Amino acid sequence: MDALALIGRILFTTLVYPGLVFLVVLGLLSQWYRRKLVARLQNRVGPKYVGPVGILQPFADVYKLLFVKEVVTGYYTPARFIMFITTLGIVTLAASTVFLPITPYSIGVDYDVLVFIYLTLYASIAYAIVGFGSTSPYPSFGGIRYTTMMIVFEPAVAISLLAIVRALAPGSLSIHEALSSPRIPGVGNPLHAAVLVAVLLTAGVALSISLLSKAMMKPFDIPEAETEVAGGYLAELSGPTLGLSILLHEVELALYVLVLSNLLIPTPPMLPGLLEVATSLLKYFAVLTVLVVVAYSMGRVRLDQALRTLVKVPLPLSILSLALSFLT
Amino acid sequence: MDAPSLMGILTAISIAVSLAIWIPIALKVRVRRTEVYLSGEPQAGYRLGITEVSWSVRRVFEKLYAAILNYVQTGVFNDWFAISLPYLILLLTLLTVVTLVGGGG
Repeated sequence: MDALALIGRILFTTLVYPGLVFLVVLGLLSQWYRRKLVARLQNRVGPKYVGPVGILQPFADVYKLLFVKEVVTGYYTPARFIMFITTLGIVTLAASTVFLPITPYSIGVDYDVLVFIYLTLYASIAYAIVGFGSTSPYPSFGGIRYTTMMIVFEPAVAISLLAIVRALAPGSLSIHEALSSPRIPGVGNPLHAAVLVAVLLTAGVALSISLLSKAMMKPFDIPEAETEVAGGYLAELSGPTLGLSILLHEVELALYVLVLSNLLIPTPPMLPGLLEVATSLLKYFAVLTVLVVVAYSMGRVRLDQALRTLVKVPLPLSILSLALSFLT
Repeated sequence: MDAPSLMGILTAISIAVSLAIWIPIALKVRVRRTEVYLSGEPQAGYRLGITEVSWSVRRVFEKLYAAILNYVQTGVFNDWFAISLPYLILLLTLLTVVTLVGGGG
């Protein structure tokens, strides 16, 4: 492939579709959906005033924060540095969408799942640096709590992703191939089909629990606990720094749920056509609904309880799923 | 194209795009620094320059140490092994997968 054409494809996918613009819109729409769903669970109304049924509320919130005239920040926060780190986190997440086959410009190579894991790691590191970057104690505690959980959930995320991709695209370890043309054993081979279901179930549970802690959703929202550490890593942020941090969170959640939902429900595959994209988004909102309902049915746990859960459930399950994937 | 080259290209593009987005924002944004609150004490004796590299590095490692000491260690002798176990497992699984799939070894 011509080098210039390759860079053009990467830039288009990173900046527009399914990268930055698409992920930001999807992430903010999902935030509205999540808030409405949680409000429904808790007998509240949720976002209501901006746009029809409050659908534009997250857009208005982020717009207001990003374009505020002045950042009122304390001695504690290196604002410009945090802006760069969060921007880098968002852009690397957008760059990792180059492997999503919902555009004809997507790219797939052997072992690209490792590149995907590597690129999405920047977001987690950005969270930790936002916490550690401040000299105020509350964000530092948020950073410490996130880093501590990261020790366990990142390997679990990586291993379960490897397992699913290994089962759906054996030989190439390509997330692009696993999403666009998954090799699902036919009716003639029920044993292989059973093993594939077992891999998807074990890795799916492991990835979902790890994702809840990675995205700091309940019951793992310890790094941004309002009542204990005054909002944790977000405590000293305001204006664009806060807006970018919220965007980073929403973009990360949107990307991971999009990948998770389309890997767990491999048929119909993720392809560029309008119908296929609509199906992918349907799968996305179905999995997001399950995740949000399960997550918000629980209260926040302590850090040691979270660590114990993460070590006892997702990590062994992910290893089991990887072992099973070699039987497919 | 192989995965390592793609990794390099994507990293370089990500950093370039981030800089292109960040520079205009950083130039436009006005940052107002408020005084550190020290219960009325003079600030001179307490000033901690967070932009000073040595202090920042020291501070970060201090926090990492505190994190490991207060939250991760369980009072068991093989704590360090327990902490590094997930990464060891990840490395071993990666090695196994690459060896088996790539047909090497």
